[in-house]
Amino acid sequence: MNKLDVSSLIRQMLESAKKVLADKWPAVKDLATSSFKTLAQSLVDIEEMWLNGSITEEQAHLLLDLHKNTVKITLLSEEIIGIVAAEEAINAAIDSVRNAVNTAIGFELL
Amino acid sequence: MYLQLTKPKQWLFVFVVPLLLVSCHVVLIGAYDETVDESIQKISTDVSTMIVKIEKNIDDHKPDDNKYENFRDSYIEIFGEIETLKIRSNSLPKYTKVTEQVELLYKNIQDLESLHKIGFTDKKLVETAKGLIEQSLQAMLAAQNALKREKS
Repeated sequence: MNKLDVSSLIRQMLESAKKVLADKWPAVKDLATSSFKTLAQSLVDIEEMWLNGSITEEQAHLLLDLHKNTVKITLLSEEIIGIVAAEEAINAAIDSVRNAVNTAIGFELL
Repeated sequence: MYLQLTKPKQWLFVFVVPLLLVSCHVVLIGAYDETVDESIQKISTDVSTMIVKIEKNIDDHKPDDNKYENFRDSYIEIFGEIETLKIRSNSLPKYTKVTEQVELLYKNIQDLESLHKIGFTDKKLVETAKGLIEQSLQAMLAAQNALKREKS
C-alpha cells in the first residue's frame, strides 16, 4: 500500500481547486490553502492510525466526517466575518457622506 | 412636464436614493447575542473537560475508566446544551449561519460519541478528534467576536 504524502496531497488538491475556481481562486486562495493543509494532515493521520491497526474503518469514516463538519463550520465563520466587514464598510460609507448630505438637503435625511 | 433637475439634485438622486433604499444603517447579519456567545463557551469548556479526562485515563493506563457508559451523562448534558443553543439561535433574526454552525457542532459531537462507543484506547485518535472539535469551537467563537462589531 502506498503511503500518503502531505505535500503531494496538498499540491493535488490545490491544482484541482484552482482549475474549478478559475478567476474566483485569488479570493479564496488563503482559506482554501489552509483548509487543504488541515485536510491533508488529517488524511495522513487517519492512514497512519489505520496502518497501525489502532482504528477501524468505521472510525476512519467518523474522523473524516468530523473533519468535513469542521471545515464547514470554519467556512461559515469566514462568511460571517466577511458579511460583518461588508456591513461595516457600507455603514462607514454612509457615515462619511452623512453631514454633507444632511447639510445640502437641509434636514436629517441620513 | 418632465422634472428638470439641477446638477446638485441629480447628484442627490444618483448617490442618496440608493443609500436611502438601504436605509441609514445597514444590518446584513444578526446582532451579537451574549447568551449565544456564553453558551458556545460553556459547551467548549464541557467538551474540553471531557476529552482531557479521556486523555488522562489513557495516560494513566485506565482503559476501563474510558468506557462510553462512564461518559454517557456528559454527552447527554452537552447535547442538551447544544439543543438549547439551537433554540436560542433559531429565535434570533438573521442568525441562520450561526444556527447552521450549531447544527454542525451537534453532528461533530455525535461523531465523537460514535467514536467513543467503538472505543477510545488510542491517544492519537483522541487527539485528532479533539483538534477538530476545538477548531470548530474556535471558529464559532471567532464569528461571535466579529458579530460584536467592535471597532479597533
